[in-house]
Amino acid sequence: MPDVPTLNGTYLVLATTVDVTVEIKIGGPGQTSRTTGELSGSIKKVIFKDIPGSISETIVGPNNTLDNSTLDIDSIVAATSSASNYCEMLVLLKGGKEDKTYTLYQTVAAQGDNAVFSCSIDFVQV
Amino acid sequence: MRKVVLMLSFLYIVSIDFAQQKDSMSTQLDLLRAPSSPGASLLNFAATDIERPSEVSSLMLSFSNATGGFTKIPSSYAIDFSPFWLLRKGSFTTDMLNSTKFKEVFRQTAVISIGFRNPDSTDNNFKKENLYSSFGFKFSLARGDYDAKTKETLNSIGQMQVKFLGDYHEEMENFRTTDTLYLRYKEQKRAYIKAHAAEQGFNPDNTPYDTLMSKLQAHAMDSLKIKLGQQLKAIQKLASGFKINRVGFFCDVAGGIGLEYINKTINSSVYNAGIWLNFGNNYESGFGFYGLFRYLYQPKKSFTDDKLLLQTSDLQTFDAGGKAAFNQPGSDFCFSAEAIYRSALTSGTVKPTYKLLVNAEYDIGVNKKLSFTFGRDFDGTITRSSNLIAGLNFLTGFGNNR
Repeated sequence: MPDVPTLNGTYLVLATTVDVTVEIKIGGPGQTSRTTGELSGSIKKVIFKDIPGSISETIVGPNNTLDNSTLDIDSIVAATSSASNYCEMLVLLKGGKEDKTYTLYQTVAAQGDNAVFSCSIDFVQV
Repeated sequence: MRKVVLMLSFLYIVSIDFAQQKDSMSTQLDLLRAPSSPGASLLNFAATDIERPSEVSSLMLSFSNATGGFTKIPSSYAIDFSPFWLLRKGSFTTDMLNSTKFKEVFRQTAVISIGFRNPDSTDNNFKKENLYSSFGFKFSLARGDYDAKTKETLNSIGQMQVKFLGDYHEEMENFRTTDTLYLRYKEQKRAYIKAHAAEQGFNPDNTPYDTLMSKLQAHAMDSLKIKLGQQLKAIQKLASGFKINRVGFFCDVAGGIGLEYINKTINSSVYNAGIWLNFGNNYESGFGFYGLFRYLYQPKKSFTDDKLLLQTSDLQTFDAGGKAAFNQPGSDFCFSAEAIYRSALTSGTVKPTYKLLVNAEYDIGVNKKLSFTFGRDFDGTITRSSNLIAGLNFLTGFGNNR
């Protein structure tokens, strides 16, 4: 499987006031990471910054405020595990038209190498 | 430390005959550890023959390959998997592997181990007319905290990651909000989605612009990784030698059962079973004290009785043991002494016995250890061995330093 270190996705939102949330899951077991997520476009806001490991469900904003905004998530995952060089970042979005999961992954060459992930999710209201 | 190497080298040379006579000693050294793959161990699978999938899709692919697309019984198949990692339930990164909450410890350490054997005429350890399966589990009830060096290294890696991510994210945001071509694709994608969103089965992630935008973002990422290469190298330098060491109390539980299907029918009987409880305490100074309780059940086991007659009976044994070890932090030298008492729970089978062992090891490189062992085995013989334990680990680590 070829690595997927970058990803551009689209999350459909509705004309409601329900909050859209994002959850980040980092792996594999034994790796060490820091992750930052920022909203750009019509709304500019830091959603999370320099967080180690996985990030529990966090509010991005109400559906009807997110059109024309983009959630940019950057992460660095160091392969500190002595058992595996596999690194991954799962982005789970909820609250919009439907739940969605994006998966970015990379198997680095050796222990200590870094996987860098960049994911941009455009919010489009339908 | 050079003296230690020379001493162990000498012991290796003078005892090489004993090593050849009793090469099973290397496995007995691990008696005070629960097996890492309890299910597979009961059917004598080698560590290199055990598959370890990290995703549900890999697990299904593994099952499918072993069963010829779910059409036949696998001939020889062993698999270990962490159910919570496969389902991505819980956190598995180093920031959470330090948790001492039971829920997290259990999720992060739970392993399911399964094995199948459909032996053919070349397999001498199993009856070729029968089929064998095994199921095992392993988890920790408690584990120690990271030691000071582990915490210090992780803290340093974290600080460097924060610095890198700050610089990287700033430059990447600048690209994503100012690059003309990227922004043009973004606008065109939005217009495309708005125009097609009402269509049945429309997938907003499958527009003509997604790949183009990802390629531009990947190009920007590659440029930044070169620009910030020194920071990545500094992290790599620390992370490459990183190893988690723990201090404090730990307690591991493992168990498994093997079944034998007579004439490959549904009629089955227990082939063997075991349960392990391992516990102990590690200290910052390098000292460690460990304990073991182990129950093993082996039906229809052949053994020699008091009158030296060969008997066959259901054999149940209970082992209890202790071990003291010293491995100074940062040192490649390790010394340990252990004692194990074995009692037979089935009367009229084997007599209670014990084992004493003293072991010295020196790690001389990746996957290579020089060791010396001296002691009394369960059968009363005095054993002495030293060897270079390299072969198996070279196989597992070939082409990679892990």
